[in-house]
Amino acid sequence: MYTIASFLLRTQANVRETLKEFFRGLMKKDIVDLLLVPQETSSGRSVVYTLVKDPNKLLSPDPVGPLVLVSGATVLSNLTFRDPGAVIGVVLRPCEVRAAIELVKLGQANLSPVLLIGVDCLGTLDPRVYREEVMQTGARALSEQWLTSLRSGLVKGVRSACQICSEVASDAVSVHIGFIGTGPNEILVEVKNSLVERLREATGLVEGTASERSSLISWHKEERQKVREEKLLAWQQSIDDLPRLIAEFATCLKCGNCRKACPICYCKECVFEGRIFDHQSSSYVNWATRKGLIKMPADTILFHLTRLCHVGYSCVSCGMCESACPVGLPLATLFPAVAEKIQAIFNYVPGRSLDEVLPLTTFKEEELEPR
Amino acid sequence: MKQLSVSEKRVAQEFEPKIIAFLCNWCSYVGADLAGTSRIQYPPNIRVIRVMCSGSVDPLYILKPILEGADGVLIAGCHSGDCHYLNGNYKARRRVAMVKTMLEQFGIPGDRIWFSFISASEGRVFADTVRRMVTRLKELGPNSMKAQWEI
Ligand code: SF4
Ligand code: SF4
Ligand code: SF4
Repeated sequence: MYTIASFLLRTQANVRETLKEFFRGLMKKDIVDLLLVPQETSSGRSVVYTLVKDPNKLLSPDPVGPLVLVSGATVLSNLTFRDPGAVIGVVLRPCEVRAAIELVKLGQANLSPVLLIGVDCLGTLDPRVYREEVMQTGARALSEQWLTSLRSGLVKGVRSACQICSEVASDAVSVHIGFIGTGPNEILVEVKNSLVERLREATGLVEGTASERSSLISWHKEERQKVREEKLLAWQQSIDDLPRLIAEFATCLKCGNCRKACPICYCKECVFEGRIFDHQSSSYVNWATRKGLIKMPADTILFHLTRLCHVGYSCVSCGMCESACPVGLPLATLFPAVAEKIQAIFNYVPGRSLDEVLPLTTFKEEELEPR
Repeated sequence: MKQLSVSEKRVAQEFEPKIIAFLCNWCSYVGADLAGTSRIQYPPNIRVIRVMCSGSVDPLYILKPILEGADGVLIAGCHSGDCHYLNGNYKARRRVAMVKTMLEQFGIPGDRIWFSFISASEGRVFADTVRRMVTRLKELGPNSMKAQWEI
């Protein structure tokens, strides 16, 4: 582990301007060549990831706006799967950092050309809810309100995945931008010691801390951990046989959005969309003959159970699956509830550290079941 | 174990479980073959699928038969140090543990899925494994997924 130094950025006009100067400083002083950062769209109705090369085009950075349309980890994988030939600063929320760490271990992303910049997060809104709100207020005002809530540590209406997420700030980053527990004119910046000098020079940081911060964060961690345990246990106890699971998925369209949105489901060609599931007509006829009837399209439960096994050990509880589901199935409870049991077999915590080996790439001579 | 009623006992006696077995090309499949050529008796409940390595059996191929109503799935690979692909057998064991844990959450007994190390010379071990598995599956009774069409 490395030590961290804590700084404050005094916000001049407003937070967005200050962050803009901070990020531009990183680029102008060549600490990073490019920056992957959420920005408000020109329509003022959304916040999306942007890959910025020209610092002057960085106009509306918004790492606070409560919306994640695509996991930053997925974007990071696209950017670093092959060598980008440049250093990229990547601004991520804690669940995205966890997913990024898993993707590195899965051989789908590379952090060596990356400076990870974490931001505080107490949750985001379901994209449908965000859209409703943004139509009333506009993205900018919504982000400003959200920032005020974030400072005081009180947010409302976040996604179910966020309600059970206890990682408010990630430890696995080089630079962290914090808002929780800060005063109205400040932003907290925590920096890995080896970077301090360069960063101070580039961005005008002054030493300082936010006094309320650590108690607010630990309170959130405990509360959410409690909610998580209760919620997952309740689910495990109620959906304890296949008929109940089948009932839960009764309205699944089998559209595959959940797996497309899931950062861990990285396959370029998912087995469910390849030749294996391009069944012969006679196969359907055989299955219908054997059972008397089958549901069409077939294999919905097979898809979900298989996906649970494919992502179970690495599922980081980010809830991207649920946000992408057109019928709002409770995937952000189901996947973590089952994943927790799978991870427990191997004592594995996904997304915590690059040093923890993926359970299925290692083994012990004596373990589990010799029969 | 729970006491079976008389009618349940009759069903249990008549019930012949169907087992899908994934046997690795280098050890377990040869072991099964040896059981056959050495005329070692074992129950005919098993349908064998030869795979190159137990480590190549994706959870998908364990789950599909279970959802289709097979009563058990056996995955067998080489013993310690004998895997042709270094350690596919050990990784398979981990993967099977994962599938079983998940299925148990959904009320499918873990004992429907078996994992074994069976070498090319262990015809007898193979026969014995099948025998024990059939006995256990008879205790568990038929897989209710046979009648479930919404999968
Ligand atoms: S996104 Fe929802 S509806 Fe689509 S396949 Fe996944 S669970 Fe089913
Ligand atoms: S399964 Fe859902 S919660 Fe788990 S990593 Fe994938 S998107 Fe995130
Ligand atoms: S469901 Fe499995 S095969 Fe499909 S994308 Fe996810 S991990 Fe890959």
